[in-house]
Amino acid sequence: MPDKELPSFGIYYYSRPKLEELLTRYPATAATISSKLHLDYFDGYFDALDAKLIVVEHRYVDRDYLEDYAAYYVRCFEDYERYCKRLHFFSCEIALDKVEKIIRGESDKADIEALRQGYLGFVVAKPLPTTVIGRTCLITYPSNGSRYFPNTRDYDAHLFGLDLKIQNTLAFQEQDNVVAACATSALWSVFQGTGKLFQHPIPSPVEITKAAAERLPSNTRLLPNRGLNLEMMAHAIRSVGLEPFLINGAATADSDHYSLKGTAYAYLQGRIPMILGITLVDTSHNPAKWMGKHAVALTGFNLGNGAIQPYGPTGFRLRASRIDKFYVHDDQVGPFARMIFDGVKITYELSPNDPIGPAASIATSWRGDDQKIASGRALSEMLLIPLYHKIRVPFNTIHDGVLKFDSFVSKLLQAGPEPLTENLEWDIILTTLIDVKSGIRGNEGMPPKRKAALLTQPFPRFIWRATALAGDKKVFDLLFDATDIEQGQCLVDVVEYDQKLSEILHVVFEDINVENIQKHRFAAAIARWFREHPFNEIWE
Amino acid sequence: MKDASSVQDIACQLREWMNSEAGRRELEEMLSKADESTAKLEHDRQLNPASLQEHFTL
Repeated sequence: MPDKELPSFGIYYYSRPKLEELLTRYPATAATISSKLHLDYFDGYFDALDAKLIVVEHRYVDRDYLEDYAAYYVRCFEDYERYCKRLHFFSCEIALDKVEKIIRGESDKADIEALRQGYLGFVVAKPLPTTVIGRTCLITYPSNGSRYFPNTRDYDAHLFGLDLKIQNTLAFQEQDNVVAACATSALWSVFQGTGKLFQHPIPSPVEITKAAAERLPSNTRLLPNRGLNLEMMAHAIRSVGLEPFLINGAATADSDHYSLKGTAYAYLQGRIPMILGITLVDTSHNPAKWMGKHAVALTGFNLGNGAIQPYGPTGFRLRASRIDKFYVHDDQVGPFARMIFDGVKITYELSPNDPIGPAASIATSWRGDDQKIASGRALSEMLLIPLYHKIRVPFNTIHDGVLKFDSFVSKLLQAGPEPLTENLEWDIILTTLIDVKSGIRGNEGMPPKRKAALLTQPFPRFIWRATALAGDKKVFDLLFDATDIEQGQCLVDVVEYDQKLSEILHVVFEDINVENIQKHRFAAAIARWFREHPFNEIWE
Repeated sequence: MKDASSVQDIACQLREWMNSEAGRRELEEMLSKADESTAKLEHDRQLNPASLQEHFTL
């Protein structure tokens, strides 16, 4: 059956050439669009999602593009259009004439439901020569049990009166090199998540660039924008009422990316997306060449099946160290693009005969000068995390306190007649009182009296939860107040799951001389909690 | 250590070990190693102010 082309909409079978055609507004730039990395990426992505159909809204008003248009494009001599196209993708096998009937309101409920069920999301095509990928909301990769996208949200789409939903995604768009560079696009995606989470207005790309401009160096023009620095990004975060929390330097670039993974995991699990700053290196040259700095929105991760890499001389076992992939909205690649921790170290040149490295690198989908996908590799530079102002105690403080407690308690539990074979595993995440109490409410093994006490006890809004696991079994959660002052002890409560280990710890800590470990204040506070809460009271 | 027949026995043996000279020494060693780990992490976490002005442009 031939494709259907009608004045206000078009219906097509999905194919890569058709996608290229629909994204191209100017025939002169068709070859450039065809060679964009986005096209390769989208084609692979739609293949994984099993896309079958594209429905196009021809005259689509996109709020973000309209703001950019009003701020810049409308004053160009060239007559750029104000209307976009919106391409909707479906995985269902429905004949094109049936889809047309649905759009015209002539179809039955079963066909409409089939179309809704098969909805994969949309891509807004901007009416620009080459930077055409506008607001894009696509469902994530199919779940395999190890991919996590904790900061996604639901989006609604309306197609000629047909309500469609894209569940669990985060909007993406590419930079236009005019009102937005990579950092602006990454911030825009991050604000899509934090806007919903912390209830702030979500600025358009041009509004983000303008907000960042208060820290603009005097020798640089604002528009066209060629990039933002860290201070400018931090200022843009403040402009929406959030606090920028920066981690850079050696902490993000150690040989096994331990701190990077631990920090990113902890805040991502708290549903907070963040900016990941990287240096890109072209490995198609020998020695490899510096390409430049790039910013992406970090949106998810994959927890691999490999063993945890114990950290430091105490053998601290952090669950996050199992991360083997990050998923990022990379405006030069696509949404949920993979960055793979493959352990490859590289040496590169910033300028001729000035080798730097070897440094731990991350595989990306970037192309180097050889045009081969993945010849561009990333070196981690920084994490910039937009936080609600009441999230005051940082991950570092909790991590270090738990590491000290673990060194003590794991050693202790390995010394007994039924010793643990290895240190406890720790899962440290930012969470909320709602999630903590939901977990307690759903815990069927908890004694009723203890459950009632925990459910009715006041908790702070933001909580650091450090879960100790022996093998796959939860032993206990340490709950810390994330809104406390750092010099406080922060420990709010302990939720226990394993009755046997619980009894051991309560008995052992009964007569512990806390003063001996007083300088390790978190360890002392936890030991004191076990001492002050008798086993029988908790488990009766 | 002796075989233990109950959780209480295990716990009591551990408590005994923790309060023994050898136990105290080993736990103190572990806490010192933990201090080493966190001191290194703290050092790595020093912000690099030079990078604040670098532009992300790709």
